[in-house]
Amino acid sequence: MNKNRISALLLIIVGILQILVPVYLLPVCSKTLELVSGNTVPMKCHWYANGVCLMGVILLLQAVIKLWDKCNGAGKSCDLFLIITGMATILLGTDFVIGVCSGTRMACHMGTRPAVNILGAITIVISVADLALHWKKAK
Amino acid sequence: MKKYGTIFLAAKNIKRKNIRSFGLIAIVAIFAFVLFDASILITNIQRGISTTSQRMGADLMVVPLDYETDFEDILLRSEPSTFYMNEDVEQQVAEIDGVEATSSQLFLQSLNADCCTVPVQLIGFDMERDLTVVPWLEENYDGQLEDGEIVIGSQIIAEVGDILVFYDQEFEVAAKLAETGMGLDSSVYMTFDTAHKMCMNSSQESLHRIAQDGENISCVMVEVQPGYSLDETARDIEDRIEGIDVIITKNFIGSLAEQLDMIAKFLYVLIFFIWIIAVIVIGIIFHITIHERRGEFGLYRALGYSKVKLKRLILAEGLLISIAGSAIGIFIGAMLILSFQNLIIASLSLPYISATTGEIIFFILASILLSVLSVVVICVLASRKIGRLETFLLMREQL
Repeated sequence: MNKNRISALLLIIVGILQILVPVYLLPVCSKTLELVSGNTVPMKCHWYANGVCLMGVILLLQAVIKLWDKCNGAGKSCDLFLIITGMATILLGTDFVIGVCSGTRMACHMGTRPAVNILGAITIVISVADLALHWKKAK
Repeated sequence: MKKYGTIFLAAKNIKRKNIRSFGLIAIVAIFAFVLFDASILITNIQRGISTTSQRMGADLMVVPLDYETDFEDILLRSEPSTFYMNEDVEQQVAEIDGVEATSSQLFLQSLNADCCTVPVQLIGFDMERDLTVVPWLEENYDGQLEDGEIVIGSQIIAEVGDILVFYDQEFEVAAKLAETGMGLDSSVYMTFDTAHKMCMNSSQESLHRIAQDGENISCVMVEVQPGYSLDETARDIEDRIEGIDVIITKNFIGSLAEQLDMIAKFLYVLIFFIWIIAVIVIGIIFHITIHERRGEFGLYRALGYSKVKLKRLILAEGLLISIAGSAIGIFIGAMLILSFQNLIIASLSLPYISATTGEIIFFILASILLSVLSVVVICVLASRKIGRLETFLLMREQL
């Protein structure tokens, strides 16, 4: 099996995990915040989980495209987009973008965000390695 | 002619047999991962328990009847709770034989707080006489807490000078306490006066009772005079005062140490079994590989490689495989244990203090050394066979 396919398959697994982590594997809590008006709104982590799932779907699609890219033409640009996807996934967990709840003992803080960050880092590492291989091949 | 070094040739051989090498690296990685993570886990819990024992300060802790579990939940699991008893209890405890000193604390559960999204534990204490918080506070703060000022545990996300809001009232953070590894790290501390004022000014009717009816303490910390038995004094207190439970700190710490002991035993057994399995599997693979590669080794001998050089080549292969495996295992282990530290703390319900950088470096080196040594010893034993065979016998395998 060629290396491009191996990395695409690994990224498909990472993408699936990224969709499953915030919902099933290490889910964020379903608590709500009560407003002064008495209404309740979802906490930050709810939106974070949605964002992570969306990035997971994008990653999965990119990996599937990479898997079926037989002519290898989109190789480098696909890897660059995957690196950006990995970075964006990690950035979702910072207060700069969405962030998670501030309680250090909350599910999103203890489990979801570290797991998502690790998946983001794996995406970046695989894509950088793949990009390096494409560059080497081009030379 | 270009000369190739032993390490270069070993690296080439590893790359050529990539599936076998991947398997060997994976086995070493699993062993290094378990060894590193288990060592860090045991050390961190050990330190957590030792710090807890130093932090408790009091010999006995008196809490309202049936609130022993709530109190332990506050100490270990940062599960906030509100409970209280009459302030006269402290005076009654102080009059019992063998009691050297007493101090009381008030536990209140906040509403959802900005700092932490969820409710936190608010603890009122007596700045002059407190036996547990003040010695701990003095490490980071040498002033007197004023009205409206609070001290926060290390897990509260705020800094000195920040304003936090509890029960619609603003409080300024005067100090941040050092990490203890206990649930108390997620608590907020204030003087009794500040706590009473907060209760009075709160819109929550239930809190007014605490300030008005003298039901304003949640636990009494007791120091027992030297020479008096802790068990007997605890029994005396329980016999004379109704509606209370007495927790003996030594027993509480002892039960934590027992839990640590069980976890440590399990982890040691796990390390031992994984080590045994790794050694057996790597030993068998090396033995089979060397047997299969006899023809190749014969060629090396025919090309002028001495027996010692051949042994060095096998050793270098083992060395590279073990270094790569242990580096990968430790990297994954460190990433997981550092990322999921809070999840581990919450799951174990035991005091846990993170290892220092020095300790982490020590465990990294120790794990690499043990993994490398195990593989190197196997290689030395496996390569002895090569040394015993003559070149023509080795060469015959190639034909």
